[in-house]
Amino acid sequence: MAQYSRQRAGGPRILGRATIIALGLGVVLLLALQSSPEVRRGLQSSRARMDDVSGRFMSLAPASTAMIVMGDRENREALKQLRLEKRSLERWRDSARAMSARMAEYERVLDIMDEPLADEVSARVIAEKDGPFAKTMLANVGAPRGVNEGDSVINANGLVGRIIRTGKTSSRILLLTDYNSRIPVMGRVSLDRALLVGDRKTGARLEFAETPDLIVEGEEWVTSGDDGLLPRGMTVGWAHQDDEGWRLDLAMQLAPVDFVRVIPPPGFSKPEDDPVEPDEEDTTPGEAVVETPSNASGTQ
Amino acid sequence: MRATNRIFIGSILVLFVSTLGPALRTVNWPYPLTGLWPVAGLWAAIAWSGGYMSVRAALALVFLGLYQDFLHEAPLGAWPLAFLSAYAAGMSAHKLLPARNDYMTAVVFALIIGFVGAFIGLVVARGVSDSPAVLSRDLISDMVLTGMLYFLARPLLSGDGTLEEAT
Repeated sequence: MAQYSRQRAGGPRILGRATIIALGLGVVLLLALQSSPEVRRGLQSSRARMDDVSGRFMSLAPASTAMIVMGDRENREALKQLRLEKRSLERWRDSARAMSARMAEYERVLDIMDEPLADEVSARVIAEKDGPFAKTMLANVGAPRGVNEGDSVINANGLVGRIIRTGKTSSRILLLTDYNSRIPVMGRVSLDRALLVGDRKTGARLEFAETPDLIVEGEEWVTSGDDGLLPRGMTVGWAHQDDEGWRLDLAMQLAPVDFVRVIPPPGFSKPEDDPVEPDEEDTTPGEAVVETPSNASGTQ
Repeated sequence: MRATNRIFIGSILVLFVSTLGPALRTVNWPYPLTGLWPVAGLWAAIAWSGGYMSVRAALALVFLGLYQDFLHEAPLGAWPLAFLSAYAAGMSAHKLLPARNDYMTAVVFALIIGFVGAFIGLVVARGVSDSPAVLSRDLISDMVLTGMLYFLARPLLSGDGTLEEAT
């Protein structure tokens, strides 16, 4: 005790104090600079490199850590459960294949233009961080595997988030629960459209609902695909009303996120990207190209 | 042990704990450990505040904070500001105590004041960088765990709690 008190004696040096204050002011200045979106964008590449470095360290913590921590007994039970689920899923798979073939035939008959199938990439989540500033995850696939910013990320339960940055060996996923997350969604029953906004307390809230009176308690909500970035129809969660309005019990929170699939945006091409070349012999500039019985027969 | 060595070893420990946390979050920990992880940098900030003011310690805290910023996807400078605030608050807490005070009282007092300093630092960082609200239940839970484990980490970071040599 006395030794501790003696160690407290002795004053700090002026130069040292000034240096530390200067360090603090420098840090505040660095923070202030980042209020500019341009500066934030400029830092993206260094953050991506850092994600790769930290991703390598984090991937060293193997999944077997869970086995060490939680013991074999629980894992054996989980394995037994998984085998049962696998048998059940195989029956569903066969059923789904049959339905898929029938659906494809119907679509061919009705001449329906379906959403293009995307090339998916499977990945493992190697780190999760929900600090005070952001809720993100790190996945062990990077740009060379075809992952791009804006790709959606799903797991077995539903939508998890979006890719916000890609490195060579890792990608960072912005979770639906993050404050900055904005996802257009729609209700399966009410067909109401809304914006899903990340919320620190409840996970995610439904904002700007077009017809909130039509929303049904417990209704499943899926991605609407209105932004052209997310495929339509991916399960997001189930509606629940509380004091502050409608929120979603997120599907991604049903179980820990481990393996995920990264899905690129639907490949719809814009009309400007693939314009129809006007036939110079039949049309003049500004004339509408409308196929009517009269001009089709050439009697105009 | 020399102060520089102590800062170096403490920094390695903090880096290790900070890196391990996000990796283990993906593992299905049993309740109540789910999602909890200590903010290891605060251990260093408060433990090092028990000695003389050290520029090397402050520089190490800035480095550790920047690493934490990258890990946590925070605006660069947010965690360095929190750690420096905790360091300064911890030093002030040690000065505020009477010359002959109980050792444990001094440590606990510095810990609490250091945490308050860190919270203020995070709130200032949030305001300056125009980020979302930072005070959350998760952060408070992490802070509580940090405080509980501080008494285990403190001997590793600063021996008997002091940095004998000034810069």
